[in-house]
Amino acid sequence: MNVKLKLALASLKHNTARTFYLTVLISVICFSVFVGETVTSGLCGGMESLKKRLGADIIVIPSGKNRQQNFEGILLGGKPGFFYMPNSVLAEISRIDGVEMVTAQFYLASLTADCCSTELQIMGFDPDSDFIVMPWLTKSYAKKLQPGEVIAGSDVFVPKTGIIKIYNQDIKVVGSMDKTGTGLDFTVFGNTDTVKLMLRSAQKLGVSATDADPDRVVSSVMIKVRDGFDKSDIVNTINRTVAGVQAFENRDMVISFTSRLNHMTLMIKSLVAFICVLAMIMVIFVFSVMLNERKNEFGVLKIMGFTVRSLLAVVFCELVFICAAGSLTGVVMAAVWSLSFKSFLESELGVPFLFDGYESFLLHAGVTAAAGTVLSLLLLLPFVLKVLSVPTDAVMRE
Amino acid sequence: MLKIKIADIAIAAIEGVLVAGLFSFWSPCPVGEHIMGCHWVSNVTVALSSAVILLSLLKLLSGEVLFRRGINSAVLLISLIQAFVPGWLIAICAHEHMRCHVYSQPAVVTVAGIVALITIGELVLDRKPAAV
Repeated sequence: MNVKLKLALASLKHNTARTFYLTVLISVICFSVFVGETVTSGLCGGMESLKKRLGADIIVIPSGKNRQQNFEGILLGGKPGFFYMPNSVLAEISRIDGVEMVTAQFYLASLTADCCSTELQIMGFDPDSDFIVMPWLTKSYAKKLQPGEVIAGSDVFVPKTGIIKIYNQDIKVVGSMDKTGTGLDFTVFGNTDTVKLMLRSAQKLGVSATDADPDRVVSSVMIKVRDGFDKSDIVNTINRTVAGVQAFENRDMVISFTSRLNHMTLMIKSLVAFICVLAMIMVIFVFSVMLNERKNEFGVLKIMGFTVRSLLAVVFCELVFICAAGSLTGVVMAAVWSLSFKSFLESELGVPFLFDGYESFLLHAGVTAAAGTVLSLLLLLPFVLKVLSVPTDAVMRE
Repeated sequence: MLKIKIADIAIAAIEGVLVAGLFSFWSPCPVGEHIMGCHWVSNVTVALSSAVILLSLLKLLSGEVLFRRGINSAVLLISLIQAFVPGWLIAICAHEHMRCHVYSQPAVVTVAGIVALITIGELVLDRKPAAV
């Protein structure tokens, strides 16, 4: 083995405490950077996914206290809910000038069953008029959904039989959606006939919270506005002329979530920056103290015939080992931690959160580890050069 | 030596919090008609945590380096196994948003990771024989 490498390894082994503390400090930096990056990219991914899924310009739901929060809970937070309004509003809305397309949706919440199931959101849409759900649902199931058939969100537990029982009705799951990071991951999608069938069954069982006739109600109306018309004018017209409903623009909902998302990412980035700066200061401090202590050692090695260049090679080898070990440890710990906190982050943050795929996750991990190693080396090398450039006689006189 | 003792007490305290948490705020899914995998995960984790607590307290009794290193190696091994109990060695519930996925698993992995790190630190730093 090369003498310089041998010397570097011997130095690392002999000074275990120094090696350990420097490695820990560098892993703290890489850990916080990687965790921060994973969380912020998950938040951005969730928001992008939400924007793709919101196809309507205007949403109309029944008026009432906290109704909009209920709707956002269904769509974004995976909190099952339902509300109904007379289906006559559909005809009233379609008569308004500027409304290009209009479709109704029907919501129902299932009860919690036994093992491995939670409440499910059931969303019914009209395949003849729908322009919201069908475009992205057809990626999972190209055929037309029949009554009694549903497509399940990515987080819906589907037994091996492919049949889920909701309100005593056997419902066949014909496909599963890709993950969206929104409440739609906990939703099953069927046509309105399927959902009405379930509501009737719930009413027969006496467990339904509503006694409304399923053929005479809808939960929400989605509107696409004709080009050249002002969306806010149409919202105002609906709110003024159609009784018992409230209309709002999709954009308002996205803006509210974007603002919350921006606050969250800013907080996370600030925290990561604070931890990194603190750890960097500690690394520089520990390393410069350590180098000063080794001035005599370097002086003796110089007397024995080591040139500045060969000493630089020895310290460089030591630094490469420390920085690579620290970066790898930090990234591996961050990856394990992020994966085990994935479910916690997805369900507790209260905003759409879409975790990166494993390929992208591994790529990020590799890039962070490599960047951590290179940046730590660049940060510490100037101090090494400064100490090694001190003349031997000056060191020996000290 | 004082630092090492503080580390031992910290390990025992952290594992104690995990045991208390698994019976309260980090508890897995409730036992209903079916007993789910996460219930057994919780039981195994409590057993492993109790072993770590006992070993950490036992370590406080002796200043012998080899004795401490032996116990540290055991604690490291147990905490690594503990980190892989939920989801790897014993399957937990299928639904990703149930209590065991959201609270119990991250808590167990985090605590096991912290204990493993402290123990590695002790193994690296605690090399000199104790003063007689």
